[in-house]
Amino acid sequence: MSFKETINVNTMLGYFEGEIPVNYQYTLGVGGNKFFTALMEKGEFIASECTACGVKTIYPLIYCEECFAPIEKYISLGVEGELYSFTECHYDYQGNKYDKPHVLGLVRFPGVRGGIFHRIAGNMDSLRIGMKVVAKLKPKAERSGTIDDIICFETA
Amino acid sequence: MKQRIGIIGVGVTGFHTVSPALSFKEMTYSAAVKAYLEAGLQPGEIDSFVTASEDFLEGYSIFDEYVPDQLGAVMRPVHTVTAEFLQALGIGCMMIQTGHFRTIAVEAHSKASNVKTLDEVRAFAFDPVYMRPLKESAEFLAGLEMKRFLESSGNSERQCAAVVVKNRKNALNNDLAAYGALLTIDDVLQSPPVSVPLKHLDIAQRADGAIVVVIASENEAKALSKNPIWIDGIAWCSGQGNPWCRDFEEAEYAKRAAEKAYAMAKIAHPRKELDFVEICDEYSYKELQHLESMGFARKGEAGDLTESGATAIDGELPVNPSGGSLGVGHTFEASGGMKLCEAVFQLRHQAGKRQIKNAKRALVQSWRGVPTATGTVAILSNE
Repeated sequence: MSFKETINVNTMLGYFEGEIPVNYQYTLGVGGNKFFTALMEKGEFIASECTACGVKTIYPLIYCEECFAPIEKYISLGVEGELYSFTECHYDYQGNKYDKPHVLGLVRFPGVRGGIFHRIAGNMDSLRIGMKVVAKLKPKAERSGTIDDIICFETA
Repeated sequence: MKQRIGIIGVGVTGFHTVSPALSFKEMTYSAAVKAYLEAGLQPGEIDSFVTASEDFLEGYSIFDEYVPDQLGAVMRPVHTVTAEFLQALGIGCMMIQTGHFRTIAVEAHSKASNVKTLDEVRAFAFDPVYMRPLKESAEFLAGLEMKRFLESSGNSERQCAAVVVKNRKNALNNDLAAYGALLTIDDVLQSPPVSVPLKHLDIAQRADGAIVVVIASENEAKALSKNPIWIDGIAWCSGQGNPWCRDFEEAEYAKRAAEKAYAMAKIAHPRKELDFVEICDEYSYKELQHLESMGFARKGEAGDLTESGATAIDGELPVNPSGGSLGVGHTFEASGGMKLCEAVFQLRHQAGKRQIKNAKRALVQSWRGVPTATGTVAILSNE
């Protein structure tokens, strides 16, 4: 230590309690609006397709991350995809332990870059990488244009 | 590289689970005094200062305003990068290469024990629209990656556990380390599940500590230091930023950064030409994935390499002789700094009980952690 004096008594250890309350409205943007509008109204996922280089991307973009061309074409992927990976989570984002663990996965769509992280119905033993899974959506009247309009993915 | 850069002073505090006696500034000052003493320089003689930090981990907006005084850098040229220590080091190297700077001090620290809501801060790094509404922990992404990596490569949970046993044992010989322990494979395999297959003991636990390193141009380093350690190559890479687009089977950022650093250092056969490596092991599987991605093992063979003892301190290629983040403690944006200091001590032959005989050349690598795909690789030598 590089000090002439330092604290060597527990009762002298001092600290100040602080917090930073932070709240935001995150703009969805053109691509995000297209995705959630299609999810709410048609109950389907859409991807963007670059007509210059052919790369398809979910979540949809208005520019191509590969060749940087503007994108104007959007395609439906339906609601069926493949399980790229899955895990069983025992803690939430605040570090609280779940009473019953959550199964989460990354669902991808053949020929499309990207995917959807979401809850998966099933358990570690019943699921396999590469399995076909289908999104279970909230009823149309209850959808609000968020990723939680998807309840979960179920094995097809 | 245009010219080699010399490391002429390192200052490192020990790493501790908590550090209630010192503020982060006092901790950093303590490291800076040591580094400047080694370099034989007063802070006023150092041309510029680069620090690495992340606002939410510090608990400040615009944290870079709070870095100068503890480095002796008030009214001096100083800047902060939102990055990991080794990236800041790379920036310092580039500054010296311009010819406008002879000496640079690079700093990073962790005061993770101050963050009462660390889990939430880490989960706050997820995309707010597509990922955060799931309200899952940062470890959920690591669990998904581990599952895909193990299945696609053929490495096993048991081999990941062997990484933990090795690194925490190495840390027993490192007085700076906070998490040295003698564990068994079964201890790791039977530790509580976090995000299956990721278990509690697969995850490096947080630690506090500060690192300051002084680097100098080749000429300046030779003039100022009797035993400079040379940076022969350094490069970083950001891979696919959106986690839903990312390949979980390989650490592309590590592969690309390593390729570039090898080219700069003229390394053709990394496993033969390097005497040890200090690499990111924030999660046990990451050590295996990083070894494969940087060319030290073929796909699926890093686990075998670990189980065979080849990566042990007395093996053919010691991996994380310091104990790594698993053994020393996870220090977030300072992680690569801890590993760089270990490489410097080893290459100066000052590593005591854990000294690797005749160590001449080493690789140091960092990763910025979940949910990033950013990592840096540096090649160091003592000749």
